[in-house]
Amino acid sequence: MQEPTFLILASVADQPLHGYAIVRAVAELSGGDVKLRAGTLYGALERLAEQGLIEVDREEAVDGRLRRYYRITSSGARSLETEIARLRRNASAAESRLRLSFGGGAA
Amino acid sequence: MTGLERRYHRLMFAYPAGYRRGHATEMVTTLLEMADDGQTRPTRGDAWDLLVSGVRQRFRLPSGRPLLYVVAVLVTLIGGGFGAAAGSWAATSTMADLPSQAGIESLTRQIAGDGSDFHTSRISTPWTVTFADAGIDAGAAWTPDAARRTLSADGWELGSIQPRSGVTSTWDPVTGAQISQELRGSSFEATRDGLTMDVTAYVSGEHGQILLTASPLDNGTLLPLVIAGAMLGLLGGWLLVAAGGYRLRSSSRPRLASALTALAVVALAVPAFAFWVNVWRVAGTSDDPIYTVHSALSPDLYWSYGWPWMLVELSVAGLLLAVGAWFALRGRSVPSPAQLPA
Repeated sequence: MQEPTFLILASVADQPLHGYAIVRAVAELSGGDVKLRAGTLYGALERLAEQGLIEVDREEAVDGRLRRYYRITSSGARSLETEIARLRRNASAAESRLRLSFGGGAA
Repeated sequence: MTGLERRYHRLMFAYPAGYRRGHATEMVTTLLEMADDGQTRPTRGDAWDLLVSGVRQRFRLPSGRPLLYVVAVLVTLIGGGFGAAAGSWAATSTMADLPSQAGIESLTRQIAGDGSDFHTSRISTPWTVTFADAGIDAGAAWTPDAARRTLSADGWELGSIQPRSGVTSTWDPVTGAQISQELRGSSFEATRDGLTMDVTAYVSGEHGQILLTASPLDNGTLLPLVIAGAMLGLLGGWLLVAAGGYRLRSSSRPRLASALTALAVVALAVPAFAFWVNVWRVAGTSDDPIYTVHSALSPDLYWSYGWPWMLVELSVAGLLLAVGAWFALRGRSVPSPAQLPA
């Protein structure tokens, strides 16, 4: 799973969000490192929806403009858990090796 | 609608129509929310991102349909074959026309210094341009020099004379014994106005015969147009399946559309294969008469186990099936989010 996809999935893990809210959530989750543009965001949302990892929660009209809210599916939650476990495992392995080399200086 | 909103909507045309219907309004809402206060134009980064994402969306196949990738590869190759054939046809339409039958006769008699028993035929093959063959009987005194003088005077550029020799057999009308006679011959090439002629003459005893083959010359457009047509066809084939794949998701008759698509692919794969074989010939040789791609659709047998017009019939049937499949892919009406109350 690519980082933007992981962050988008994580951003809708606790509540349904619309496009702009996802962009802000992803920036917050990544500490400002990942700033999604709209084309990239909706390309990822399309793929995630096709894979059944997210789905449309509801649509709203704000000032005559459409806002569509996305929520994570149970399949998406499982994928996210798997990815979190994988990243955690990799991070732990990397940290262990670093400690072996530098005697615990990287805690 | 503000100027910024209008510009964002304009950029959405990078996306396929089906995607625009489903997502354009929502995406423009997000873009407007992301825009800075007082911003009147999309940033260069946003414009580039929308253009790239839109084009990428046009090439995307729907996820979770592995068979669609097989269809996409086949249709891409079929598109490339037909595109190469279209390029080949376009190139040959810019080449010189063959002289009429009367024109061929006039040329042949000019070369022979009149002659007798003229005969000619136009020959089309599934691999080459159409060319003309002609023959005429001439006297034993014929030499190429007089013919070359008159052709040169008419503006034909002449190649060098190549000697030809051989032996022919005949029967003595009195004794019935077989007699071998030496053949003296020569051949040369003549070109003018995009046409080339191969002139070959044999003389034995009291008898001479002149053979002529006339065909158009490649004016340099054939290979570039074949390659350009193939590239466009390959591109079009993939885009067609990408668009069709998304239509299939909302099709009211997906099984009918899939069945018609499968039949169309089977029917069109045969002529497309013949076209690709001809592309290989075009790329690999420069012999006269020139090889072409679209000539596979000539009524002659391409393969000995086929039948005349087979590739034309399969092409027409395949295209009709493909059109039918496209109509069967027309979807149920999906509510558009474009018009929402304020």
